Parts: sequence; C-alpha cells; structure tokens
Amino acid sequence: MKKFILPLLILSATFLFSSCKDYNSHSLTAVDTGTADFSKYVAVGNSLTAGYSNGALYQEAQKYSYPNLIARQLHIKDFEQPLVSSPGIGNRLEVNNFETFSITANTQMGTPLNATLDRPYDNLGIPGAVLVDYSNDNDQGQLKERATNTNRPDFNPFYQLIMRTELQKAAPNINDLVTALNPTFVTFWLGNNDALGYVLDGGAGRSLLPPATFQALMQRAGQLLGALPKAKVAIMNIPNVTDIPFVFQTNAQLQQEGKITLNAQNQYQLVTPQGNLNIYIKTKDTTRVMMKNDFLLLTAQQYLATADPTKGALITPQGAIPSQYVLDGPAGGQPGSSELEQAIGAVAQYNAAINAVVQANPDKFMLVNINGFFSRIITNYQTKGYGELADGDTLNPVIGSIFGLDGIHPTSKGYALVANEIIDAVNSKYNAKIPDVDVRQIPLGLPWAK
Amino acid sequence: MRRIVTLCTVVLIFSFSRAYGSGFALYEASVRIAGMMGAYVANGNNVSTVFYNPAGLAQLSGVNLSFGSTFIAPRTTFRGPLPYSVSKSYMDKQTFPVPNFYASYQITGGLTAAIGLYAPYGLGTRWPSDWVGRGEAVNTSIQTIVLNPAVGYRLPIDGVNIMVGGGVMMMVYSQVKLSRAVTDLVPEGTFSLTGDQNDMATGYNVGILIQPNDMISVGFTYRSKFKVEYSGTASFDNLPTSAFPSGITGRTKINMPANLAVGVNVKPIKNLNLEADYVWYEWSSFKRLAINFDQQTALLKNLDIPRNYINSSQIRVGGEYIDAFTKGLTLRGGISYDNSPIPNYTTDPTLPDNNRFAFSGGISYNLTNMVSVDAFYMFIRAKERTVKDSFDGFNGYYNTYADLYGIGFTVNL
Repeated sequence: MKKFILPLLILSATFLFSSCKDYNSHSLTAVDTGTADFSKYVAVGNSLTAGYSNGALYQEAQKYSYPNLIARQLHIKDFEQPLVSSPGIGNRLEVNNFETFSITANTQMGTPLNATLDRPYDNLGIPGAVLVDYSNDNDQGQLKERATNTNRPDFNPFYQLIMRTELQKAAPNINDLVTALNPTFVTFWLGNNDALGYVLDGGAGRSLLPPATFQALMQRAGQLLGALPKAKVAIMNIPNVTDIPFVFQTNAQLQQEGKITLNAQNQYQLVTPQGNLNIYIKTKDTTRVMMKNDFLLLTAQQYLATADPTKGALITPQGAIPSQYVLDGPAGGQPGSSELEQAIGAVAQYNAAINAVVQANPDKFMLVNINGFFSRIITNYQTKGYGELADGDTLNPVIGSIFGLDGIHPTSKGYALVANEIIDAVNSKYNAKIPDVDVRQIPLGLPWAK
Repeated sequence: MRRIVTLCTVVLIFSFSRAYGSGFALYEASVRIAGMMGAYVANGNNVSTVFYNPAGLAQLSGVNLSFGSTFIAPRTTFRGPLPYSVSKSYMDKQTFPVPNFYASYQITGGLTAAIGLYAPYGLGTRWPSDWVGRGEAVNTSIQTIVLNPAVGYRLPIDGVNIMVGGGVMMMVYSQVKLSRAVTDLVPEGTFSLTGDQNDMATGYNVGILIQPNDMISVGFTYRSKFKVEYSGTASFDNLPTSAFPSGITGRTKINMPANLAVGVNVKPIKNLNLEADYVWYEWSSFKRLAINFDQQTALLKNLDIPRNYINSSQIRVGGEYIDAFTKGLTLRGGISYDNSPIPNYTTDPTLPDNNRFAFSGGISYNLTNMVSVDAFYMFIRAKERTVKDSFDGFNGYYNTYADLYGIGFTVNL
C-alpha cells in the first residue's frame, strides 16, 4: 500500500529540489550584420545624433538616441555616450499644462555623468556642430573659439562636453576623435545646422553656408572618412527645412483652430468679428500680405499670443509680423529670392554634394536618405492622415508624436524611426539582418514641469 | 446556521485569495483535497465537496466542518527584453493566503445542505517599480471570494447509488488591481486602478456522483461562469494633474470562466482510493481587458488589452491512503498537468503562465474522533515561456514556479 503513496511523495520531492532554478541559460543570438562589421561603431553628427530632444541634452532622451538604439540592436555593450543628468544642458522645454499644452523652459542645469571616460565617446554627436567641425583644418571653422570663448554669441558648451581634451589642440576637430577610436562602422550626419540657423531665425539672423563651401567641406570630410583604415560609413543627407513642425506647424495649427484662413487669392487672413482681414508680414526687403507659402515659425506663437489686432497688430502694415518670425516664401518677387527658396535650394545643393561624395567611393560609403524619410512621413500625414505606422503605433510628424516640444528634434519614438531607417538601409546595402527597433517599446519621453 | 454565518465572518477577516492559477483559476479550495491534487470529483466524501462536486454532500451525515488556508508563493523570473537583452528580472516575492470554509448539515438520510466559502479565481504579481517591464506591469491582482450554499441528494433508486447536487455561487467579494509606470513622460509616474465589483456576481454549480459498486465511482461537476463588473477610482503618483486629474473612475469587466470536471475514483484495496480527473476551463470567455475611464485626457486613454485566452484542460491524478502506518493517519499525493490558456502573444508580466506540472503531498491526523488536522504541500513548475511576438513588443523568457502549502481542520460531529 505504501508503494502507491511513497513514490508520489518521492517524485514530488525530487522535482521540488531539482527544479527551483530557471531551466535554461540564455544568450543572445548573434546579429547578422552581413558584410558590414559593427565591432566598433562610432556615430558622428549634431544634436540629432546626440539624442538632443525638447531643447536639451539629458540622459532620458540620450538613452534613445538613434546611435544608442542601433548599438543596442547590435548588442554592443560598451557604446559610450556623454550622458547628462536631467534636466540636461540647454533649458529643457517641459509641458506645464497638458490641457492647454502650455510649455515652459526649465532653467536648471544637469551635470555630466560620464565625463571621466578615458577615451572618446562612441556617440560623437555634438549639438550645434556644423560640417566644418569634422575637418576644421587650421581651425578654419573657429571651432576652438566657439567651444571655449564664452563671450562669443555663437559659444557652444557642447563642444567641451563631448570633445574634451581635443579642444587643447590648435585646430581641434571631430575626425581626430573618430580616428582614435579606429571604427569599423561610422554613421555620419552633419550639415543640418549649416542651413538650420538661417531657417530658425526666419532669415533674419544666421546665414546659409554657401553651397560651394559646403561642397568643399563635404569632400574634405569624405577624404578623411575614406582614410579611416577599417571603416564603412553610412552618410545621412539633410531633411527639407519645411519638414519640421518648427516651420510648418504654426500655420496648420492656426488654420485648424479657425484663427486664420486662406482665401481664393492664396492670401492668409485673420478671422475676426469684423470679417477676414489680410495679415501683414515683414520680409528682409519689404512689408507685404502673408501668402500661402509664408511660414509662421514656432517662435511666432508667443508673439501672436500678445499681438492685439484691435490696435492694428497683424492686420496693418505698421503691425506687420517681424521678419524673424516668418520664413517667407515666393510672392511674385525675383524667382529664388525668398527665404524659403533660398533654404530649400541650399539644402538641395548640400544633398547633391553629399550624394557626390557617396557615389565617389561606393565601396566605403553608403547613403541613408533621411531627407526622403522625412518627406515620406509628411506626405503620408497630408494624404493618408498618419505619418508612419510602426508596429501598430500610429505616429505623426507633429509635436508630441514624432517631434518633441522644440518642433525640431524628434521624440524618443521619432528617433527610433530614424534608427530603423538607418538599419533598413544598412541591411539592404550590406545584406544584413539587423532587427528593427520595436517602436511600441520606445517611450515618447515628453518632459513635464513638476 | 447562525453559527455558520459567524464563522464565515471570521474567515472573511483573513486577507484572502490573491494567488496564482492556471490562467487565474484556483483549484486549491481545500487543504485536504489539495493534498491529492484536487482529484476529487468522483470521491466527494468530505464537506469541501461543495466546491469539487456538490452531489457528494448526499454521503455526509451529521454536521461537518472544514476550514483552513492555503498559502501560495509564486516565483517568476523574466529575461529580456528580446531581442537586445537577456538580463534577468525577479518578480517580488509574495505569499498569498487563500482561506476556505465549509459546513454541512444532514437534513434527512440522503439529503444534506451545506455552505462553502472559497476563492475560485485569483492572481497576484508584483514586479519592482523600476524594472525593465514597468510600463507593462508593476502590481496586478485579482481577488475573489465565493459563498456557495449547496445541497446534495441521493436519488431513491434501488441497486445503484446515484447522487445529485447543486448550489448557488455568490461572489460576495471581488477586487482587481492594476498598476504600471507611465513611461511616456519624463519623469515617469505610476498609474494605479483598484476596482471593486459593482454588484454581486452570481453563478451556479451542479454535480452528479454515481457509485455502481463499492470499488468504483464516477463524478461530474459543472461550475458556471461569472461576469464581474468592477469600478474604482484611479490614482496617480508623480504624474501631471493636467493630464491625470484626481477623481477619475475606471471601469472594467472580467469574464471568469465556466469549468467542468469529470473523474473516476477506484478503491482497489481497503483504505486506499485513487482518482483521475479531467478538468476543463472555458477560458475563451476572456478575450480582452478593456478599462474605460469616465474622463479621458491627452495622456489618459481607455485601455484595451487583448487577452484572447483559449479553452484549457488539466489532468489531475491523486490518491489517499487511510490509516497508513498507524490508525488515524492519512497520507495523500497527486500529480497534475495543466495546459495554459494564455496564448504566446498575450503573455505578459501580469500573469506569465505556461503549461505546467504540479506535485503534491498531504497528510491528515485525527486529533480526536471528531477533529483532524490537515496539511499539504504542492510544488508547481511551469514550462519556460518564450515570448518573441508579444502583442505590444515586450518579449523575453519567463520562468515560473510556485510553492503552495496549507493547513486546516476537519470536524465531523
């Protein structure tokens, strides 16, 4: 009789003591990188590469920078970034009311968390960096001054954060840091800022880098990148200036809210109790009625909020919207003279220069058409009502979805889309099977004011 | 009856019924029966047959009481998230007491009325608040308490012993809890919802027990489903009030599945009985977990979480040997195999279940002619669950085991 019960108990006990641990050990299956070698991956770029978001560089967003996401997909364990504690460097924008969507800037500063790393960072994205910074032969771009002279209006603290001892040289440059890391794969995305400053200032401040200069600098960068002994390089081109909410969102939003309307003559008009009235803008040369292709910039919103049309603001030539708040488009003047055409033309030529460098050395270089990616999500949004469907997430090219609160830089989800665009291009060029980032598992990362 | 009601109240003071089940069903409704792995539908000679097969009540004479508590200690690890990490995370260690109480009174020969109080459904999982899956789940629990008045009746047929029984199941208490991190914000906060059942959900249970001779018996039981509606106030920790205003009410419905059990019990020799049961749960009733808020904001949206459980079955084999070694000592044991109702793509940290084996052993000792003390131990081991195509992209390996133990008393007056 015992023979029935005892075996049961013994069996129970055996399982009890033998099976309390996890059954199996697991290791990650190796990522198939095809003919590309990612044993040492280095990212070169500006704020977009750094993971800058919502007007600041801080670790919660840096964690989801596209280079870090790519490195994560590749199981790279020691991909180092110049992490900064929250709220970061750069007056982070934060939502302080989600009902009215009002935004404030956090003037607190974060501190660097990875400053003692005894080698260059693998993410060499420097917010504000321009193309010349890569080579900076003979300090032609005055990088050293912009990095160290706090009195200069173009002083940029991020050079110090990321380049560190390199700045002690007479002509510091990013290429030296890349060379020291001896990468096998580089992603390179510079040049946005050579046009962006002009756009952000509504053509009334910083200027566009002349395309001929851009071309020469790009060729020089191509020469240096081509000289890296082991590296294949993925070079990203530059998105159109109208593809960021900083440029396109204000008009669309005011129209959607019924505050402005477009008349049959393609003139924007202010909707008032007295009827629809022309809106006046200042351009570099003149004051005129705002037309369809004139973009009120994100910075105009605060100006508009305080402008009082009953006192003539907006609706009279005397109350015209200042030039720095408007990226003016073609309005019958000399073809190509408007700010919009100038910027679009420059970006097109920059991209042609990037393309030429890639074409010249197809063994080492590949192009990632980020310009096409941003155009696609905007076109999708305008024609299908969504920007991108990512694993079931619907993402739109607006602030609070693909773009963060500054209207220029992506959210963490937006950066994941950028990472996937690069991964897809690499997979196709090098016959690799790097898995895409699952965008559902990437947070938006919207900062809010406590 | 007054005494019974008082006892019920005492039992309710326990903190009860958060546990871990196949899906979130619990079959450990009695310390005694758990010792033989719940293989009991064709046996039914103890008052806890109110749960296992109310027809068995017809066998009981006099007044019978049984009460006790099971303690369930589930342990789970997660390794992931795939495809980029296999770092291990540990679920918090929790132990859930699941008490039960039964009482019966023989009205006449072959007719016995009874009442039971038990927890047929429950789960509790809690992960560290900073763990990698905090956006999926931090704390999740379902608690139920069912009050089950029942009768068993022996049909007046000569030559064959056929008993029938039935009862009303009243879910006198049920609460769900859900909390997770809101990861879309910097800094992150935590969303929690505790919902109590709005109205008492009810159901019924019926059973048949046939004993053609002294050697063999067969049994059948059916327990209907419960449709439970919950509502409660959401609470927000470290979240902006403009998007998460206080006083928001959340509502949800959960269909707790119907189930049936059939079994055969044999008594090959004196004092020994062995039983094999097949238990089936209609888990396909749990298709989705929808949580609706009475006010939605830019960030607080209704939740609609796919579950799409499938019907599942269990094989339970167990036995008991009475007067083993010495008079008054009963030994029990059992083995079961459960099929998990949870499809791979909806497996998540709220309930990382899988197909599993369980092994149990139990003991009773008669302290007096009327009172015996009961105890059991059970070990559950779920097969490793590998999730690579989760509905929301949270993938990895789950490993789960659980220790269950219990102590109780049986009183036959």
